[in-house]
Amino acid sequence: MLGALVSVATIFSLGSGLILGIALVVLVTIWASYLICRLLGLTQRLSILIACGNSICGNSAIAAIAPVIGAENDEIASSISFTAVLGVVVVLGLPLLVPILHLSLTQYGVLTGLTVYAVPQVVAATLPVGALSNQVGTLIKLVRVLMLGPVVLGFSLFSGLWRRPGDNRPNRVPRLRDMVPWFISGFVCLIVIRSLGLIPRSALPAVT
Amino acid sequence: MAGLGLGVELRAIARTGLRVTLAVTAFLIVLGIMSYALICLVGVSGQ
Repeated sequence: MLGALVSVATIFSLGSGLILGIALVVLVTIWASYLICRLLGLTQRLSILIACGNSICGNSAIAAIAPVIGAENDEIASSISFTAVLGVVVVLGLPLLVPILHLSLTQYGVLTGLTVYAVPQVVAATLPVGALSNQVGTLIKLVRVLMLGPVVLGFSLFSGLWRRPGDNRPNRVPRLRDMVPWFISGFVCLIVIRSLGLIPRSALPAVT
Repeated sequence: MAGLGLGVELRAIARTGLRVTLAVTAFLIVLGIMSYALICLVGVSGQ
């Protein structure tokens, strides 16, 4: 329902620099995270799961990427469990940075949207600080989640590189619902409805 | 998602646990620095 808070104009108000910056941060951090994992001796598939899970949208990204690269259940469970737990530490620690870095509500929203693991954790990290931080953080996070489609598609093109030698399962072309989580489809629909002015301003508090 | 637990061996997770924790911690530091740099570069200010 958060989509009802946001219009297309709000998204464009972020500025093209910030939107391009988000895409760049996602791509660079996937690469950096993969390198860090490999340096620590983790398997290729586990490294990819951790990289995509942390860089995009947590469990949804891991669940979407896992079948594409032929990941085992142990690898999926490892990537989800440890990153989710550390995500909670980030949620608790991020508000402490507001006075240290002298962040405005908008800046804190951007920082949270770019660093926190999952959408509900963004809400948890921003609401105690302010409503504006919450709106900006959620919006930035959902723009990050939109990167899931291109990334899953990219990995599917090279899926043969990460499979075990004996793994003869056919290459799996990701379905649209794998690349675009259901909550993103709903979010985009509500943005369109809000932008078309179909939700009366007086009804917004009840809807959201 | 819950059915995933049936195919999981706890020892396998424990073997990688420390390295995954280190990797995610290092990644979060990199991500935090990059995000703060982006905020400064783009000039996000606001309220």
